[in-house]
Amino acid sequence: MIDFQFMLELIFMGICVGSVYSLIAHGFNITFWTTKVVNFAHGPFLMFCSMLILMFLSIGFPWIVAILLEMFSISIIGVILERVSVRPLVKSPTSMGWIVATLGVGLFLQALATKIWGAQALAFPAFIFESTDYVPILGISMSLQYLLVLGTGLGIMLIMELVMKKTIWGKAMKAVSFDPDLASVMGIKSKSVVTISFILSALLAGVAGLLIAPIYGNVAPDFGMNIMVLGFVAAVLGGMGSSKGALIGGMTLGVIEKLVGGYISTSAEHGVAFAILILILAIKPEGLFGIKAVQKV
Amino acid sequence: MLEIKNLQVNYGPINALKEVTMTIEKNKINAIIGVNGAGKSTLLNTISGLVDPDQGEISYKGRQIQNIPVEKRVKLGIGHVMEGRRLFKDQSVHDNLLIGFYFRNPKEKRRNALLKINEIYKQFPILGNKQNQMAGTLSGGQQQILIISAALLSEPDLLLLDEPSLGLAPIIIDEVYQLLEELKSKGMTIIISEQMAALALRISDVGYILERGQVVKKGDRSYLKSLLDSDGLSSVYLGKAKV
Repeated sequence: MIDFQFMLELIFMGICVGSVYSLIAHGFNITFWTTKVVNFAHGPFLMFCSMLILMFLSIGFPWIVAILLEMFSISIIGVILERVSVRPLVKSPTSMGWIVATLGVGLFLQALATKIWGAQALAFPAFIFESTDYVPILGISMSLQYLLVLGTGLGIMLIMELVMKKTIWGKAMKAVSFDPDLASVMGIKSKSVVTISFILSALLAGVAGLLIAPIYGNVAPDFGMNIMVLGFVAAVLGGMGSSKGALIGGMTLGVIEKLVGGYISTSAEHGVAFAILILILAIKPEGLFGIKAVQKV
Repeated sequence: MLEIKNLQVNYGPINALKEVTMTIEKNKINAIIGVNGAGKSTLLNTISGLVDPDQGEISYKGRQIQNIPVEKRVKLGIGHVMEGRRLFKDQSVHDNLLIGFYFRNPKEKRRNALLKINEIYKQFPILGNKQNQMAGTLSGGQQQILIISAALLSEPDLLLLDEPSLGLAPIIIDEVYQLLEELKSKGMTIIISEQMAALALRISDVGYILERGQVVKKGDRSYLKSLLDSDGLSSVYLGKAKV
């Protein structure tokens, strides 16, 4: 007999963790819109952010200062990444060099983190709520930490969606992604918009890092890559470039993972994620909400 | 108004433009005539800044502009209507106009956006009626009017139009051309590219015939018309339509 309370708890946890995957998928989307590039350094960005926060905290800064410093640092790293590994390579539209280039920056950051902070996992302190803080809702006890992740994730995605839809800057970003030449003829600094998109994406990585690290409880240099791959699966599942896709793809993946972890084995969680990736790419490569792309050869 | 000296553009081993020299005078409609691949779009794209020249100079109102980025040239008063009715088809008519206005005008003018856009709606009621529709759903003629309107919102002194008649019904072409004449009467300088000489010569004061990246003939309307009538130019790429 199925224990509904246990299942509800798993689903709830899945949705919360999934909202972080959604945030990562969203970070992929933003740079994908403006450059059609998937930034494979996104995961190491996320890891680097968590590490930076840890470092600033250990120096003795309060949380808020540590977070601001970390956001500032990651923005700069985002700009550098765009200049070094994306801008020179997107000039020739058929080039796939950005895959290696962004991945290269990612591996560099990972190695740098190992060099600075060591390869061992470091304990990440609880943020705002302790991991033992619960509220009972619908008969199940919900972790406040998980709720915080869910709330922040949803809030940020909602704000971003409003900015994209309602403000002239969002429209400009959409314009650059639709036709960069036309956008510059309309007076938009296409290059600046691309740079801004990389900053925004890096900031999202920063937020995702801040949210997920306390749940994992510790961070190691390779944790970014691992979680990025899950965000990537979420983005592909939902459809690369789709906001709705990122949201639903992330949460679906989160729920499936937790259900598999709860009923089969936690070590099967990630394997299932990859199985989903393979299935989606084979059956419906444009994802749930993506637009079918036709590539001229 | 616009001086082009020895302009050369290469796409790899291909010379798209070879030593093109032109003097565009103020308040005239200039036609660039040539077949597909003659270099018309390359020429216009180089003037607006989308393409970097390999050699040569472009001076606009006495100022060298070949090294200035596109979005700054727009602010200097060069408007460009690109080939193929390019619009932000996934955004509404209104948003297309808003984008057209907002980024090409200096900050102090930006609060007038709605006022200016409403003027456009008054001039072209069809755009006003469809302002919330996606630009991609408009008919070809309506799209062309929208693109030109968006370009006009930046109040350009020099307007470049790349084959605005392509794929439009004759009656719509008449409408577009009439609009261009109105703009000229308001003091604008216009460069228009066309495949069909007969069509372009209906409104242009001066014409340049471009062949494989070179200006092979140039002159005022009556000269080019006489060439056309005497069949001195191949009718294949000039079109036989009566003027």
